[in-house]
This record gives sequence, structure tokens and C-alpha cells, in this order.
Amino acid sequence: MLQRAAVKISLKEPRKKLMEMFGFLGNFGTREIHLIHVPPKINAQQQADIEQKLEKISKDAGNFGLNVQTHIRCGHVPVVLNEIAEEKKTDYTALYWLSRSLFRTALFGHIESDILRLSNLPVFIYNPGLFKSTNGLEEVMYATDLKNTDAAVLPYLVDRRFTARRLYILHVGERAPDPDTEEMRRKRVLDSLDRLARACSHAYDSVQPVETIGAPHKQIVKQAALQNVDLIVVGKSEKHDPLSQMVGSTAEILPHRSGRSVFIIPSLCEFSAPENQQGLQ
Amino acid sequence: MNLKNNIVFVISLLAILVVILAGIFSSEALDRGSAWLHSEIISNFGWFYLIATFLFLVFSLYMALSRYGHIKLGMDHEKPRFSYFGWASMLFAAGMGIGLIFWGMAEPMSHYMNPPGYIEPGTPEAARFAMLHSFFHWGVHPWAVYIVMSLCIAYFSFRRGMPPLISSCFYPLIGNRIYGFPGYFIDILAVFATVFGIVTSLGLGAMQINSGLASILPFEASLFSTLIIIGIITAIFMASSIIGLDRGMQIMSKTNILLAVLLLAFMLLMGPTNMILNVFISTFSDYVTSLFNISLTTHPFIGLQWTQDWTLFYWAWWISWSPFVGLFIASISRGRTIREFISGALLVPTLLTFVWFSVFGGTAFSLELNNGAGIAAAVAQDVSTGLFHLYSFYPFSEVLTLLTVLLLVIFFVTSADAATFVLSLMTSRGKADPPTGKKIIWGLTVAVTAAILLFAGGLEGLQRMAIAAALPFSAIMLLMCFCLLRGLRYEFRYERNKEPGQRGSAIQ
Repeated sequence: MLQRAAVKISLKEPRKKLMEMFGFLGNFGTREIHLIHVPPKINAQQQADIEQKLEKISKDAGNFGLNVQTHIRCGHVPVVLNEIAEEKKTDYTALYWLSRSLFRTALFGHIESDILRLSNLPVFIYNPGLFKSTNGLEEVMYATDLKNTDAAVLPYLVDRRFTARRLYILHVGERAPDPDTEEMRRKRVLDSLDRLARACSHAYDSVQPVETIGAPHKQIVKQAALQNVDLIVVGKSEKHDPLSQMVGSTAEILPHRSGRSVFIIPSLCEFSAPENQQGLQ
Repeated sequence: MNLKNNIVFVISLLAILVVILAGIFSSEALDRGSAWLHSEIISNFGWFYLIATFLFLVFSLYMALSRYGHIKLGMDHEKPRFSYFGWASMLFAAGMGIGLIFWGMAEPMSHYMNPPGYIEPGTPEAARFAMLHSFFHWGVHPWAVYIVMSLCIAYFSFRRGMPPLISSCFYPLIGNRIYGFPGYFIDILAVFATVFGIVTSLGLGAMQINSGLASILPFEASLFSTLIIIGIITAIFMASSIIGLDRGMQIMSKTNILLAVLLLAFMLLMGPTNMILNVFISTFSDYVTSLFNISLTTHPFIGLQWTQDWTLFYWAWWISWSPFVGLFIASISRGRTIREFISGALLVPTLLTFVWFSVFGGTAFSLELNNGAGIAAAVAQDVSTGLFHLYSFYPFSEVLTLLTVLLLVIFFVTSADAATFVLSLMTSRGKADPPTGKKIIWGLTVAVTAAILLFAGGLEGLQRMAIAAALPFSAIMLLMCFCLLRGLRYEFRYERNKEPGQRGSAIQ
């Protein structure tokens, strides 16, 4: 399912953390990675230096049992990344999250955000936080809108190669305008979360529904911190209201705010059937 | 009596008693304290009042013109409880009424003689400024303030099935905490503003009625005659309040509007008709073209004091009245759509007010400019007798004075009646038909307080306390706009296109 990954490499990533990320990818059952570096225009000498660095990284990544290929191609990073991902038929894109100052992001934007916005594949953003150093995946939180993203996300969550032990299914809703409607809303939400939890129960030791109200991006970050999860999984809806078109959708905001790894699955994304991946197993 | 169910009633009654005792036994201290509070608020937060009031106007227009406009303030099948005429009459009686009778002529004259520093007093420019700012102070802005308050209350109570209380509007924001301290605080503050406002209006208004009557009847205006007037008004408004909205209030409001229109028509026909129409058209054009500009101007370099004394005072006063007027207007607007409600409340009373100002202001200007009638000087001497002085230049002046006093009395009765109803409603957890006992308690509290403070002094101090309550209420009302938008957005997102019985059953 998540066996082939297109990994963006900027060569600014700390080596140790990058290796932890390669280790983490094993939790998804990843076997093959394509390290993609997209430089601006470069001369032959620079090309040779980059190749050397990538070679070293690919050698280290190989130690995790990964089949590694490297690619260097000039252009616009998200476009090139998408092109190579399409050419190599990768299942998802992986990025190491390099945090930037608010000022710099406001002035120059954030390339990772562009990748996220333009990608039709699932995007995994590795962000272990400042002091956490682990490549294990124990606890996952899936933030659902109980709408159209469930169909896209659930197949990934229940796949047997997805090795987490505990799953939290979180829904962040909007309080209804009156107590009676609110009670009905909550009941409906809890029923739907229970139904989702039952659908996922065979794949985890424990599945726990969590229901709360407020701004989705704030509550997801808060609940993820409360439960101290290793990974947040969210769907990405293609329908955007005017506000999210300006400030970014919840999925686009989360990597900036959450301080932990995030897996974003577009609702358009098609889950690759395991039989198509037989050759890799 | 269950204390928990009456917590707002008990706390507000006790707190009001304390303030009133302070007014009786230490009226100077209350005067000093309230004057300091009032001047601090107006000096430091005046700009906030301007912005908030302008935002209320924008919000009202948005609500009327947006997709939410066709939502009914009630269930989808509900019909309005009152006819258009009955509804518009009550709107006008509760929202403006009394003040308009006096200020309709006195305010343009005051501005004419005392404009801000950058205008020469007594000039044509001052006259134009006076009319424009009279329209401004009594135009769409006060109604936008009332609309915001009443729209929120009406939506959350009649459509969402919650009690008609200001605290109910905050459910989307604070959830069940509306049944705790934050909710009680909001409702108690609303009771405060309403009691202080109505007590001062009753006291000061009784004095004005007294001086009007004394000018045509053979008696001398004294404290004793004022107290008798308060007693008579109290007896009438309490009887009306006990009879109920459908009969007492509606009949009186309709009578009043008819009387007002009669008076207006007489003055228009017997007065300088051409001048009045010219004043109306040119001031209306000035008002429309400069609405945005004057809405957000504090005259910071020259004339700030004038803005603080007039515009900011009015804005604070309208806001402090909004809990009472808003709740009352909400209770008579059930069954109307948002668009119908806003366009009705924004246009009908405003147009009538503009005509009123044009007729009385225009007549006063005509007499002042052409005949040197000394109206402006009379107003400067005593605002309450200026109108009666104007009548002295017309035939049947005694009949006109009597008619005006009658109008004043009925407007007073309708305002006090509405206030008693609203106070009882707010302190009975929003019961649609509040207990008669509470109506009597609030009616007596208001009347006795007005009488005592008239005797002991401290009425103006109480008025300033009411205005001070406008500051937290401006913030509360801005939050109410947000809550209403959230409620409507929720309805549109999750409940539209559902069967009527299924409303609220959608999940997110």
C-alpha cells in the first residue's frame, strides 16, 4: 500500500533525523524510496557534489532494508516531485519538516505547503518534534470530518502493514446553536465514531473515539498533544471555503502547528490494491 | 420562591436597591462617581462606540441582503403575531417615541446655536450641520443597534427554542455555561441598564410633562405635581402591563402613532410647507451621501468635545437601551423573516423620524431665520419648553400643547409598559408570560425609585450609570453578531433541505 515513497531531499536535513525518518517509514511497510533533490540551475561541479551527498544518504538508507534510487532534476520543487512520483508510480510522498520562521514563511512561502497543496498522492510529513527521537509508531490519531475523507483514509488505517498499536479517532465539530440540537448532534457524532472504531478495531490493540468542539486545527493539535500520539492522520478535502483558501485548509495548517508527524491523504487519492504491489513484497 | 430560578431577579433587585440607596443617601457621591466613570468611558472608548455602532449597521445590512434574509424568526410555518401597522407602531413607540417629541425641534436648534468649533454658530452652514447631525443621531444607527440585539434574541429563542434572554444568544460560543455565572452576569447587566434607563426617563420625562402642562393649565410646576404625574403614569402603565401586550400596548401604540401623524400633518400644512420639504430633501440627500463619512468621524483635531457630548452620548445611550428595546422588539417580531424584520425596523421608524425632524426642525428654522422668534434662545434656556414656545406661533397652540402632552404620556406609558414586561421576562428565565407579581414589583420599583430620586437628587447620576453599562454591552453585542452568524451558518450547513421535524438532526 505505502511501499514506494518519493522522498524530497533538500540536503539541509540533519543526518540523524533523516535516518530516523527512514526508520519510521518502515512502520508503513515501505520498501522502496526515491530520493529526489530539486536544485536551482547548477553547474557540473555542483552536480557532482550533490550526487556524492545523495549517494551517501542512499547508502545509509539502505541499511534500513530500503531499496533506494536517487534523482536530481531542476525545476519547481512540487512540480518535479509530482512528475517523478508519477513516473516511478510511488504510493506517497515523504518530507522531512524543516521549520521556518513566521517572517520567512510570510515572505517566501513554504515549499512543503505547496507540495501538500499540489499533490494528489498522500503526503507524509516527518516531524518528530525537538526532543523526541524515535522511529517507532505506537499511537496514531485520525482526525475525521465524518464526511467524504473517511473512504479515502480508512483503507490505509486498517492495512496490516500499518503497524501502530493504538488508534484515536477524533472528530472536531461545531457546537449547534441550541442545547437540543447539540445533544442530537453529539449523539450522531458518537454513533458515527463508534461505527468507524468498529471498522478499525481488528487492526489495532485499542481504538478510542474522541469527540470535541472548536476550531479543527487547534483541537487536533490539542488532542494530539494530550494523547501524545506519534502520528496524526488527516484527510484532505478538495472543497475549500473562502477562509481556508486564504489561510490554508486544516490539513495544510497542521504541519505548521502540530509539532509532530502528519500523514495527509487527499480524498481523491486511490488506494493501490495489494496485488499491484506483489513484485515488491 | 426557588432561589436558583430567581437568581437574576434577586441579585439584580438587591444590587439596584444598593445603587438607589446610594443615590438617596449620598447623591453627591453617586453624581461624582458616575460623572467620573462616564467621562472616562466617553473619552477613552468613544472611538469604540463609533466603530461598534457602524459595524452593527453593516451587520444589519448584510443580514438583510444575504442568503440568511429569508429565514423566519420563528418556526417555518409561523405567521406574524401583529399586523404591519401594529408592529411598526410598537417599534416606534418602544424605540424612539418620547425623546423625539422634545428633541425633534430642540436638537437642530441646539446644534444651530452650539455647533463644533470649526463652524460659526447661527449661520446657514450651522443650520445644515444641525439638520444633518439630527438625522444622523436619530437615523439608521440607533435602529441598527436595536436590530442586532433583537435579531439575536429572536433567532435563538423563537427559532432555536431557547428562552428569550440575552444570555441564550451565547450558546454557540459558551454552551451550557449560559446557565451559569457568565449567563447570569449578562442578564443582570441587562436588567441594570434597563432599570437605570427607564427610571431616569420616567423621572426626567415627568418633569417635562409637568412643565408642558403648567404652560397651559392654571397651576405651577412643582415637585408635588411631578410626583402626581409619576403616580398617574405608573397606574396606567401597570394596568396596561397586566392586561398584556396584545391589547394594552398595541392599542396605545396605534393611538399614539395616529396622534403623532395628526400633529405632524397639522404642522406640515399650517407651517412653512415648502421650507419643510426643502429641508427634508436636502438633509436626506446630505445624510445618504455622507453616511459613511460621519459614521466614523470623531473630529479629533477640532470639535472632539462636541462629538463626545452628542454623538458618543447618543451611541452609548442607544446601546444601553438596547437590552430593553431589543428584547421588546424581538417579542413583537416573531414570525417575520430576517429581511422583513430588518427592512421594516431600519426604514419605517427612520423615515418617520426624518419627517418629524424636518417638520419641527424646519418650522423652527423658518421662524428663527425669518421672524426672529427666539426659539433657539428658548431651547437654550429650557429644552423641555422649547416645543411649547414654538406652538405659541401657531393657531390652536393650547390644543397642540395638550396633544403633545397626551403623546408624551402615552409614549411614556408604552415605554414603561414595555420595560416592565422586559424586566419581568429577563428575571423569570425568559418565561413568555411573566408572573404578574414580578410585573408589579418591577413597575413599583421603577416608579418609586424615580419619585425618590427626583426628590433626593441623583437621577442624572443614574442616567450616567446606565450609559456606563453601554461599554460592556457594546462588546457583548459584537459577540452576539458572531454567535448569530455561527447559528445561521450551522443551520445552512447542516439543517437546510431537511424535513421540518428533522431540523438539527444532521451530523457534522
